Amino acid sequence: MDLLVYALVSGVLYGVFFALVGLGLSLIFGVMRVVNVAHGDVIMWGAFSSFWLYTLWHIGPVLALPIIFVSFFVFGCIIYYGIVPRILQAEDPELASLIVFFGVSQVLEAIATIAFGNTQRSLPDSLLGGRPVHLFGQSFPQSWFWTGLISAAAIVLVYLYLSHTRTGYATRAIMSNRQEAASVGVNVSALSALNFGIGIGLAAIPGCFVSFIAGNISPDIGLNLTVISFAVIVVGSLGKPLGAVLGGLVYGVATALMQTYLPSWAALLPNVLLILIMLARPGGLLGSEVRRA
Amino acid sequence: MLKSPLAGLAVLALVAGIFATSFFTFSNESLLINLMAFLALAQGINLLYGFTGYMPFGYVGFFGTGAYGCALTILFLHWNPIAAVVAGGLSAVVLGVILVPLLRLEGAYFGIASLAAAQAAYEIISNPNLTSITQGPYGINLGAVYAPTTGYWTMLGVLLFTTAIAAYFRISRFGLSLMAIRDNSNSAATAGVNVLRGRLIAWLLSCFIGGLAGGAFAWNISFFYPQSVFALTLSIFPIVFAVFGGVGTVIGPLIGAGLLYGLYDAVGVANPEYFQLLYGLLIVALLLFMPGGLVSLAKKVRIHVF
Amino acid sequence: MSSESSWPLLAVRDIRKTFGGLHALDGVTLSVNEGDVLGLIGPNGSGKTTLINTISGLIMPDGGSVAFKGHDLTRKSPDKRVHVGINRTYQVPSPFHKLTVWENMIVAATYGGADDVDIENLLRRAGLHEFKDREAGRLNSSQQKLLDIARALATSPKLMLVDEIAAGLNPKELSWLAEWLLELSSAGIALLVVEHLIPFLQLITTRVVVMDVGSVIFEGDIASATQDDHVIEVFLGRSK
Repeated sequence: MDLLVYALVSGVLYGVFFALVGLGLSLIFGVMRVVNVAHGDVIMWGAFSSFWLYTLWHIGPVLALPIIFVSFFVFGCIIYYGIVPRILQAEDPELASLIVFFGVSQVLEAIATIAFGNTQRSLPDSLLGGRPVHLFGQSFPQSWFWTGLISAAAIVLVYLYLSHTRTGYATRAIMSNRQEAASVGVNVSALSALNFGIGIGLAAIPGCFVSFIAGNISPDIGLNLTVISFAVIVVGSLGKPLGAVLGGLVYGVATALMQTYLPSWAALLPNVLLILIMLARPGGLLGSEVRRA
Repeated sequence: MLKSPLAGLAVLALVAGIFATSFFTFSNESLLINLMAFLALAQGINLLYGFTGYMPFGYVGFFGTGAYGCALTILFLHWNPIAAVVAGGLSAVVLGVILVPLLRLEGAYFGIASLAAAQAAYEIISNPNLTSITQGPYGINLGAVYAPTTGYWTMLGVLLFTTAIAAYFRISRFGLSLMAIRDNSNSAATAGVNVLRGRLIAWLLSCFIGGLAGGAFAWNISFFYPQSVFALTLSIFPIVFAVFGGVGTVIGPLIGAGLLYGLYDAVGVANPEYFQLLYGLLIVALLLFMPGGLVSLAKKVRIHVF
Repeated sequence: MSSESSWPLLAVRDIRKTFGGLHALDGVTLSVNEGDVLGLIGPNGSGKTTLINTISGLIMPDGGSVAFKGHDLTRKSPDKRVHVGINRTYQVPSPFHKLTVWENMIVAATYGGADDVDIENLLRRAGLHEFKDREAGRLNSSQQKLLDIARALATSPKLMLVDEIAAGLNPKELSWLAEWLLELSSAGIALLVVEHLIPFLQLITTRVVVMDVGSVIFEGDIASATQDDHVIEVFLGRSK
């Protein structure tokens, strides 16, 4: 029983974090149907940025967030204009984007390996409160609560952006129909670039917390994070950003339960979950109306 | 126009000739083994991606499964290694049969799901709970049956088999029907093509080839860890080789693998991260600027590529 | 032989198909006899293309049956239907883009079950012979439509489903196409022609079936269709 309580509480905290992990990927896919398999590597770069900001200048993860978000936003816009318009002209843009961003992910991982070496690094837990939190008779690292809280705040901000700003309305219009949005005067290209930047910026933010959730960071964590992100947003329906919240919670609780009761098989979870959910949706990931007949 | 079977025989003879002479003249056999394995993998990916349009990012799953299928039949059933290599191919086919439902997914989704499937196969085989069967994370030792000469010829046999299948796809009406399915599966169905059957044959053949290559590789290196036969680079390299050379042809993947593996051997082995960087950039540049690969350059000057 | 000829060539009975709550086909019944040329008209969204997709096997219906010469085909895959003699063209022309025109024809002739097809002749009739080594994706849209027809004919069909072929063709191409379709009809191929352009339809047939919201609302000749209150309401009432 105690184990179950522990698994559920940590699962919910993980879940909010994983929701944020998937959010940027989902936004980019939703707006331009680009399958960003370099997503996990962007998270990894976010993690290293946070690590170096602290190591070199003692800027803690919370203070680092705005700096990291803005720099990755700019980086995302550059990548967008360099690559995406050309992909969208391909015969099968989704597949082309998959392959191209696969290349991008290799580049990001290689540069990180060259720059930082293959060693694992971590930030001290004391950066996000040091003392454990006692809840329902269990003790949890305080950093998990801060991670969950900040992730939730970031998700709320994205929600407000999409539902309460003009840019957000236009973004949702593009998500539901690119052509029609363009025909009513939405600047699809500029907004795509903006959202691509936001998506990359959003990917870097959870990076700041990976060290606290996973214990350490290294250049090769990108692929696993990508698979997890896909599992999260596929559970919550790909391309619907707020579906990522549901997906994150399902994934977080499932992971915590696996780690508690079947620890040696926990690594299988994201892969198997991803495959099963993809297959369980007969119309592919987007439902039957979008699937080519 | 259908292509002549003579072109296929010529390519086979050339491949056989090159690797047979290299065996006697070139001392670095492990390099040749790796090269042949990569040629076979690139061709196996070509069969699937070039002829049916499915991009198997998790192709290494079949290689790894083949390596373990071969090793375990040798260790537990004491099969002759050549028969065990075939068993390795068949174990990859079994994995392929389990994954048949993935063929319902399109484009990018198939790619992602196949990657997840390869990771899952790795997690299962390397799991410490299965140590009594697979040795879990501790690796496999086939030193007792190590036989460099027969091993070499077996790997060459796998490569020739793979090339022959690719040549068959290239010259036969069956291959043409696969490309028709790739271009438009509805139209193919209403041209009388059995879409499901065509895709299944190509898929399972491709799985079989991945498994054969894995089995022959396992026998030749004789000691390996799960992460070395399930390494993602074993998917990435052959994909780049095939796309660089040009998919949908027989010689494209062979040329691509030959050139790029040579480059890798010259500069990459000591500095894998620099090579990964180069590869990543190459993938991006290729897809954006030369999606048809090297052979598309020949097509531009109206040279017909087999 | 006599038992076979007593059946209609194509018998569609009470076909129903729902897409997420929308009744795309709501109990459609119609039949096509040997030698028939039957027009199928109706406003957008009335279910015409869904019906064609159901008959050719690309969509499985929720209920009802499709029979060809009395043999039930309802659960058969599209390629099996091609083998008994049903073929079709597409509203959006759908050749195999990366294959040459000739290879497009070879696939259909090889797998469509017709051994003795004269591909050269078919391509000549379609006006595509000079392009036979060109990749089909590089043909213009009208040529791709003609290739759709030629490819379907390479399987020696007894029934052709023609889905909105006329849109985008110029008047000269239209009359030429009508002539070709009539020629096919007199060679014994039955035609079910989905069409928006009534004048084009009038070139090849007098008989039409009118559909609206997933049901057949009229069956008869074009002249009386234009007098029928229900048909008038469906076509004119919507545009108000």
